[in-house]
Amino acid sequence: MDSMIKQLFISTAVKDLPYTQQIRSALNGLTPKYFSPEELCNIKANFDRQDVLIITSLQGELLKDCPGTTKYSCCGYKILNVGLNCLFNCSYCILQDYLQSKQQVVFADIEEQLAKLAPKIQLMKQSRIGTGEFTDSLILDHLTSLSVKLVNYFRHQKNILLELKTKSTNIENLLSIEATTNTVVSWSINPQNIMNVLEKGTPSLRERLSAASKVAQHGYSVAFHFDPMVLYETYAQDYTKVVEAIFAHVPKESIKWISLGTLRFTKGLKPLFMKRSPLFIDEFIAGDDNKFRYLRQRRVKAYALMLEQIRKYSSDTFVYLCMESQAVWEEVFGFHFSDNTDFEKYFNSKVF
Amino acid sequence: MPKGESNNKPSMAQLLPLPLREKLENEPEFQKVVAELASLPQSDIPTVAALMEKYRLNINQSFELCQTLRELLLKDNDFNISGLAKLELEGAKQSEAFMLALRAIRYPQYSEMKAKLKKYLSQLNSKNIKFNYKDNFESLTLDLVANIRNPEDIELLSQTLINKKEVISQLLSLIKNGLDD
Repeated sequence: MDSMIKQLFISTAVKDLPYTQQIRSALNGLTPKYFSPEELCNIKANFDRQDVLIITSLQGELLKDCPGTTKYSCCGYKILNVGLNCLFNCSYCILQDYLQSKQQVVFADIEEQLAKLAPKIQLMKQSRIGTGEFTDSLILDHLTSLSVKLVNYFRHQKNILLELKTKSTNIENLLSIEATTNTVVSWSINPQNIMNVLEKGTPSLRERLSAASKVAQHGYSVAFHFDPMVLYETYAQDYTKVVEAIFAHVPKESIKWISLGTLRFTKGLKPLFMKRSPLFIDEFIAGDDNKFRYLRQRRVKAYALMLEQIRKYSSDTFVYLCMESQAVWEEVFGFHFSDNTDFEKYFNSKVF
Repeated sequence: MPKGESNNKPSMAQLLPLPLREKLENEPEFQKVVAELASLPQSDIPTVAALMEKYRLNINQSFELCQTLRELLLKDNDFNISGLAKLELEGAKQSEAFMLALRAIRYPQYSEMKAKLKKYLSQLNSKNIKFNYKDNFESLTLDLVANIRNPEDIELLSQTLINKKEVISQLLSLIKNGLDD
């Protein structure tokens, strides 16, 4: 993916940091342009392209709560804000609306930020922390080797599960170090026909599962996110085959969790998705959180099918729903959470 | 610019039929509709404008019409916009009837569910008993509000609920299963 970076901007505030030097050296063929921190907004405005990489310092908090959604059940996930945006081009991606910019951003002061965060991390209750919400966790890993830093940083923090969420097969760095029991490498997956249309330019299902298999063999836990699930005429057969493929590639003991979530949009994302993926325009109805989803009855049917398929291979792999309502939980699992704290406790009791 | 090509490309406002141009002049908020119109193929704009006129759509309805047409056209390039002028609509309020018909085209399953919900609720609701259900169908629960002024009302309420049990069951089935009930 490094050949997809065509232009490099480096903030003078971070130009001498080893992390910056490392990325710069990995992008050897590119002559960087330096900018002062005050110029960041101008750079962002004037070079708003996906092939632009901006190396800068983090403004704001390194550790954040997942934005999740209101009124629906959310799991208390935490996000480590290591960078912004993604080189993949998925038409449903929330970052199109959330970030409203296209450049790749890497925060080069990550080591300094992690050091500052260390006392807080040590005192934290059991938490799941991931880097794959505002960016793909591994997409730039061949340039940044961030996975190595993070796995080692959290290696002895057994109160933390680090999740590296990706669609990439950029796993060489992970394989080059000793695996930890508290790192979960996860892949978001879909049937290949959906990947072809909605996740253009991403590794195939076979490639992702092969990467998951290698990572699991190396000793890491893995996870899978069927998110977003897309409902169309033959979705039941297609998703069933993906479930079968997962368990054919990865031992069930290595799978920490499988999440399910159907396609959903903010008001801003809906027209972008429809323009880019007209074949999948469907009846999306505004939910209680004002996000647009398939009708509840269709979602329940899809989740119930997936749960049934997963249970054919594993009776105890932890399966959860992302941003779903109490009603949907009740219909799919026969129970629901009274609040998000309840959900978080349940989740942690299953995965720690 | 190639020879012979004019740089006086007509503005969106100039493309509007006269009544809509006047509307834009008199109601600046109509600009949001014009912006949506611009996302439709230029050749369809007179037809869409004629629909707004024919059904006397207000600004919000006109805006929704443009958005819905954009989605319908994305889904089906051959969607026949002019066919919307020939809809047989019932009811005195043509604008509302038209919007219902339009939503039924864009959201067939959801519209059918909403129509059933409306029918069941109208059979259930009376002066003293009101069933409430949010029509995005996200909830599994039907809410009931009853006016009770004296102990006898309790028996009356119980009897009414028993009498309406079949409709309530149908409604609950619709809520749970959608159109698969």
